[in-house]
Amino acid sequence: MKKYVKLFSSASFVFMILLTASCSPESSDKTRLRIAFAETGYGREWLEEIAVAYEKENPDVEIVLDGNPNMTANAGPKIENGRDLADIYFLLETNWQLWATKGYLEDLSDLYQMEVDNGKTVEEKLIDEVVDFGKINDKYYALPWNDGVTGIVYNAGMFEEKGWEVPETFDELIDLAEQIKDEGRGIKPFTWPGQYSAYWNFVVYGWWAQIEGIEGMREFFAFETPEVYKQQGKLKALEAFETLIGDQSNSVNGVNGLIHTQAQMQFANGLAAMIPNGIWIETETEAALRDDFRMKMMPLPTLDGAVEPNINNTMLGDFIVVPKGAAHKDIAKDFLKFMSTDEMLLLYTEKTGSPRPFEYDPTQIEGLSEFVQSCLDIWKNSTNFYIISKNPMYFANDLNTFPKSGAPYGDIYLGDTTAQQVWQGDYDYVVERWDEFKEKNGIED
Amino acid sequence: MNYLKRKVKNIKNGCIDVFNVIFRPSLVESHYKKRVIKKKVFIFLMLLLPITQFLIFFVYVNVDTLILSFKRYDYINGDYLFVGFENYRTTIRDLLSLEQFKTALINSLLFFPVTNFITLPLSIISAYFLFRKVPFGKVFKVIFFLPSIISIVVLTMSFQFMFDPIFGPVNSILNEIGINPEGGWFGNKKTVMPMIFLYCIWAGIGFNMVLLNGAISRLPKEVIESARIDGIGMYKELTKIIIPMIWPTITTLFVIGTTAVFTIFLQNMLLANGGPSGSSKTIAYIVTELVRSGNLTDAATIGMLFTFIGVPMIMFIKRFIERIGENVEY
Repeated sequence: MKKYVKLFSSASFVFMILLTASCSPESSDKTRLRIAFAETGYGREWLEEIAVAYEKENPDVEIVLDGNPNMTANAGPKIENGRDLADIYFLLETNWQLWATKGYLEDLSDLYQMEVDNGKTVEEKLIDEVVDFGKINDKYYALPWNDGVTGIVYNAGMFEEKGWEVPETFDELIDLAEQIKDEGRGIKPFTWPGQYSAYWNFVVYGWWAQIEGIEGMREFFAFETPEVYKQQGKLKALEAFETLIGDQSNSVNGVNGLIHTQAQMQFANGLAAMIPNGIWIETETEAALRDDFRMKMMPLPTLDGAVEPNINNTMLGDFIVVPKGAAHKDIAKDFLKFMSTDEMLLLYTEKTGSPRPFEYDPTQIEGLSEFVQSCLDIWKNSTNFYIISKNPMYFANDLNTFPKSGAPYGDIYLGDTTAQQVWQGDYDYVVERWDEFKEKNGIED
Repeated sequence: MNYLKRKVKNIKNGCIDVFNVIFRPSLVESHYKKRVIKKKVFIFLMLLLPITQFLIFFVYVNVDTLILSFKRYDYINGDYLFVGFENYRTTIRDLLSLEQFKTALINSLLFFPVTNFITLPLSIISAYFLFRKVPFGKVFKVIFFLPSIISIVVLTMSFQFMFDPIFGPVNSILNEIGINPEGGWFGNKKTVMPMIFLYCIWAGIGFNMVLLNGAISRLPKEVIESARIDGIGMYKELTKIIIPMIWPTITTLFVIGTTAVFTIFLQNMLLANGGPSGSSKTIAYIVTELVRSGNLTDAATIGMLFTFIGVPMIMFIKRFIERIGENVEY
């Protein structure tokens, strides 16, 4: 019996060794580059194709993809404890500054100086406004991932069928909402995800930027004084929202309890004519859309008193990082440089429908959908507004656009608060805590 | 004959023992020592894993949390700095002054009566009826226990779907009789918490019921049978015999139910994302949000603050409940 036990144990041990060897990341001659990415609205096809193109140019590299909708939340603990790390992470907006200052991220300053094509460096190829996006304490630790187009998406087929005009001003938008309710036979002007009411940030920030202009928005996000919370643009934008959505008849009943996919389904099923959303909605709802369903992004209707009427709120925030403990940091940087070439940028847009914040012309791509084309036209012809703050009070989440209670849209919709109360409440909250926040974040006068 | 054989065997063994003690003392000693060492190694190995786990996941985590609650993160120097009781001062101020914190605190505290005074009694009644072998008892047992074995994500999704403002079948029925809250069941501040409580009761009964059913089925049959011969009714049987005899299990469930006040957040997150406008957040929900945003120091402070409140509170409740019921031994 003992003999058999010994034999079995030895066989198991040898088997385990062989199994471990076969699972080893370096078992083949090729170097494996592991890329982890948030697999959300843009899908994974873009990365698969870029990976194939990179492997073709670098036959000694094999790219392994790890996509997951929850990657942003999952990546944090891995980056912090340095185990089971991917070489590159593509993540949605989160506090990467914390990882950078704790020393968990690779310094990408040399990547920014690498030549991409036509002698231009990555830094020179990036849109001027976003160059400093990934910079903290004078070093670059992140690269911006997506640029974007956000605002109001409308059911183009429905609009044409009913003869509704795309509004150019806010007053026209209000008139249109009335017209939809009168002529739409139960169709409501808007559906939106009340559980993620921050989707209205796409529209409200745009109106705010129209009133304050790009300089005014930069001043706000610099957070040098609490007086920025007295900006009239914020108040006017919230008042516009209050006029539009504070009237509950303008939304599908029950919107306040919906998540984004439910709201998108209502829009796709024709229950509402418009939805606040972004350029990713088409890929995100692709499987649920009827073949004959047509939608477009409308240029944001202009508020009275706008100093910058033609605004696109990009909602820039998604980013790319290389962990300090990554196994193949140089190849990771080379891959990111490769992704910044014109050819790969065009491929990215072709597959995702989204631009990246680089100097290139994605409108030249043939075969784009009507929706993506409408978004890219807005991106190309608008003043793009990027939220970038270098203030630690912003990273630490002590200050943001609505610091007192978060996105106030649900409360305004339900009539529990007013635009004026939100605006004044945020100002009072910040004034009371200003010195405390500064001290807490090590900011000296 | 057998008796004689046993006697002979005993004498033989006795002789061998005497021989060993007189002539082979070193052999016996070494054998004894080996046994003691083996025993110690066995005990050490058995305790190694739980003690290591306790030291890492309890002692280290809690001590680290306590230390973090006295620090703040400096983004400029990339290090944590000691700030004394400053985090406690600001957290207590915000708890008392900010509407969102106050709402979260009230929501958390409401789980105490819901889990202990609604879910638990319903679980006891359900477990008793199943014990009494009502018709289709086994089917009911599966139905009640099903929520405990299905993933909470799936369960919350199906619960949400039942009350969906457009497609929900339960919502449609309620709509027909004129019950239709503005903004939907999970989008209205007045209905969102009752809906979460309803879910917790629905999903919680099964878990409690399994433990209670096990406790009831272990009761001595003679006691119950003699009571029934004496003509005891169902109400008296439950309140005078069953409940007193399973009181230790009820005490355990009561304590577990009380800890929900400080730990529950997943149900609120999956059903309503803490909304509308933060009206369904709990204290644990806020801690989770802070951790996700990287604000570990504030999260640690809130955690410690409620540990200081929670531990004595739970200890007091446990003692109080144990005193109410008699310690029945059988």
